[in-house]
Amino acid sequence: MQILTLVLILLASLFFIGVINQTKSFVSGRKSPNPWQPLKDWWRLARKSSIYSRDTSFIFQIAPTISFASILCAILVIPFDNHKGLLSFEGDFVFFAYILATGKFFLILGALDTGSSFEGMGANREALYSLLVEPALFILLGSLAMVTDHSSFYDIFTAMHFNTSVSFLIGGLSAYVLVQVAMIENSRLPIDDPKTHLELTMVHEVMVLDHSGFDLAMLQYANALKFSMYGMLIFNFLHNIELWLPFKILMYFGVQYVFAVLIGLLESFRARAAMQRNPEVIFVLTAMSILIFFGALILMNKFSI
Amino acid sequence: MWHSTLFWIALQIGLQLLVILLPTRLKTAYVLALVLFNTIWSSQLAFLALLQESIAWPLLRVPVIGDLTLAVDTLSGFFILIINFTTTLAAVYGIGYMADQRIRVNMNLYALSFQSMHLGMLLVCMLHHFFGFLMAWELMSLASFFLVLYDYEKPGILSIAMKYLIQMHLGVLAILVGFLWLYKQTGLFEFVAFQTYFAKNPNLPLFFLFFVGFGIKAGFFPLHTWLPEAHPVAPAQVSAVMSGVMIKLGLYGILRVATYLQQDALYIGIIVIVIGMLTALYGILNALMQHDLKKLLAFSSIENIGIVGIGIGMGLIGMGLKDSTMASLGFIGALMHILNHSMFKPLLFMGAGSVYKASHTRNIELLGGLIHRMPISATLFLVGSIAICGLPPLNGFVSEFLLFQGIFERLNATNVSSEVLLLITLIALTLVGGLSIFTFTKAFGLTFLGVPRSAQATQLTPVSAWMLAPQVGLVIGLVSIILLPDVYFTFFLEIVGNLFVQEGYAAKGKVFFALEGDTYISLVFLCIIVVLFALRSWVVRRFGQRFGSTWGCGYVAGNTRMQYTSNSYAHYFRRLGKGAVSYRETYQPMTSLEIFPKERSLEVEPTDTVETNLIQPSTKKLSWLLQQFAIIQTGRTQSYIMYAFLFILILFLLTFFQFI
Repeated sequence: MQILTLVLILLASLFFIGVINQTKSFVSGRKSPNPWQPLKDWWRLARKSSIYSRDTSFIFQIAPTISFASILCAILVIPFDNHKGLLSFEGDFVFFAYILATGKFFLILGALDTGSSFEGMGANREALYSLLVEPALFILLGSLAMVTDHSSFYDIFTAMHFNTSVSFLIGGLSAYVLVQVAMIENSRLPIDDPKTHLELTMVHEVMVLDHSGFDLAMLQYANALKFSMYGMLIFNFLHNIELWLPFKILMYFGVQYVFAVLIGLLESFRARAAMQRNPEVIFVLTAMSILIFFGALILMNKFSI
Repeated sequence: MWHSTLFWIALQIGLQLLVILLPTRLKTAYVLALVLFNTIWSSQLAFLALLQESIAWPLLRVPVIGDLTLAVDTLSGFFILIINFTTTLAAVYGIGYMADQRIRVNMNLYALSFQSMHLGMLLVCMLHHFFGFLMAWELMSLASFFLVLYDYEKPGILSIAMKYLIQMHLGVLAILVGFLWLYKQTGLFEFVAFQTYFAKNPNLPLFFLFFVGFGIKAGFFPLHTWLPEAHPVAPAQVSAVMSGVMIKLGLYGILRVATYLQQDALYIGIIVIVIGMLTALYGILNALMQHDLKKLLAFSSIENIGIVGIGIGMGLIGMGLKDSTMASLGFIGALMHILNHSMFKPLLFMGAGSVYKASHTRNIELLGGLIHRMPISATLFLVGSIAICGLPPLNGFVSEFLLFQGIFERLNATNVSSEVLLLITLIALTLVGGLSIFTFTKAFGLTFLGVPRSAQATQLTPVSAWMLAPQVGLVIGLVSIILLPDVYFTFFLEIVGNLFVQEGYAAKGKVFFALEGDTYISLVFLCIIVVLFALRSWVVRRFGQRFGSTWGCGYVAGNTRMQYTSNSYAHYFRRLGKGAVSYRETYQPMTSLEIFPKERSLEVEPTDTVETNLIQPSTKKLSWLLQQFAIIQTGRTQSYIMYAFLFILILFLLTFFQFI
């Protein structure tokens, strides 16, 4: 049953972007596109012919593949409640963060490979934001590791029990931080806006500007996959009642659906931060995870106010 | 016994000097032969020490100071092995790199210095006698000084080399004072003196003195200022050895002293971990700012020394808290990182050397697009970059993973203050990881990818196989670590168990399992890539592919200067890293009276903050103070006679009134 996580994440990734688009359309009073439209887009893209710049090398060609593989590999260590991921070991969340960084490393190199100033700009920004968001994620996971005295996703999620008022604070804050991290890692508002059409204001989209065909399809699908991967983490995090497996799966899809709707709502009512202020926005996240850390200390009665 | 020793010394000197008689063309090959000779006997000793208990071999009986003993234990054995591995490969690289050097004197100097640097490094690890150790240390420092000086006819090299020499001797001064103090307190000239001394006296002051002495060699912040200047000017294989193993001997010294610590380990650990973090962050932030490829790598060496410092600090804190898990993981992480760095840094320096040989420039702003003309060098550099960023599936991840393990293992069980310290360490480690990705995407991406930025990057001379082969050797070393992490882990566990943590390490199985999982998932990752790429290639071939130019969409006035430059890639950190990074900007702003604006240029040159704000002002003050004494140097013979007379008079008065 260890394959369950992978299957569930793959399933959720199919409707995730569609739900976000539906929510945004609904809020702005437009008629929404078909929720399965992204699937059709990816399918269409995958069957288009590719065009490559003559200035590029093999790095440009392997970059999307490695990026996609890194996300698949990161998913392997995530559990589904009490079902282990395909691979689970002490410290696997360090691996989780680092393997995603490997993917990003290659995407950045792929962007620099084209020799385009726009892509250089996108790569540079993407590198900066993912660098700044890393401490927040690590402090969050570190605090959870501290509370549970375990350092693998599976052990953390199985050992986590919340029943005091402080723990609800930590729970809420952690969910908030995870949602924000997911949005930044996926290049959504307020850091980046996938809908923008001016290269100078783009971040992720301009980094992958010259990819086409199957590679582009892979990159776009990778976004959906990453979202549902974080959705799985959030589900694991919120879930703490013992349920019959089908109900649990139903609840999982519910969480993913709510997560997607939430992102749609957040994007609808939020303006994009000015490019110069992005680091500050991200630092706030780090500050919040430090709050979680101290909350965890209080929870363990090691620290009192 | 003594005869054989004397014979051995004579043989060594004879073999070293023989190189002078050889024709210039054969000198580099002879260097390799001699390095191999020294590698074989010393590796044999190292293996012996690692398999059995430590070995000691009386070498020479010297009047007054006692017996010089050649002693190899597990810690020395480990360092001897990494010295031999890296230096041998560097000597091979040297055959290719020095092939176009024809000046006989220069080549003699190079050959002699390279051989004696190797010998000096080996002896540093083997001698446990104060004077023997200092002699070996000097041999190593002086030999490397001559190697830094190799391109002496170029402007600026001499002052850089002098700076290196002076700073090395400041380090020697600290070590010497420490040794003399130990001798005064214990009456011993052997390293055992540490044990006697630390048992009775406070440990912190003396350790700190040695930390300063060895820290200059290792390049700990703020003692690092020689490093980013000396490394780039030496020939590439020398930079590889200096950065890969020689600065590690500073860490060897620190670890060696740390093995004798009896108390205060907690406070020492806190100091070391804080300095380690500062070093790592300062090093990587400055590496990011550089546009000289080798200088960038030199700053990144500082960063890696910082990471090792974090490991050593964690180990010491663990010792102080009597916590064998944290102590073992800290020290093992540090040793593992030393091993890793001794492989990927030479790989990168050799790559940078190949770039320099091919294009005759180290300036990233002038390079670009090299991957099309030197694909093998580019791929090897890429492997090194991935490894040094600590990214899976390569070996750099293993050591950082162990450090993270050490932190997470301990977060739960310690008190609030150490928890906060560990949290800060966690933040520092993740920031350093992210910044090194930033730095090495820049180093690799701007040098090898894109379009050539100048004519220098298009007219390349081919790189010889002598320069590629050692890099392949290093890559094989890297891969062995990721494939067999538990073998290396067991090996380090033994070293650490022998020297630091006698109680043994309970949670061994868990880490083994984690390392195995790590290897396993890395292989899975590679498999996914292969399968996915095969699928992708099939799809791309099925639906067709076309080639065009990057600016193919109607824009015809494309210019290679429009690409992102090294400077623009780092520009965020001029603001975010304020205080840690500094730069000199030459630009004349336009005035309102300038009706016809002239052509303008902007030049940004990164500088070392510690150098400009700490070292230079203080040396200036010091030289001002010393100049005040110039008054007595009048140049007239009469004055000097008067000084002599005054001196005698003072002596007379002092003895007359019985002051002395």
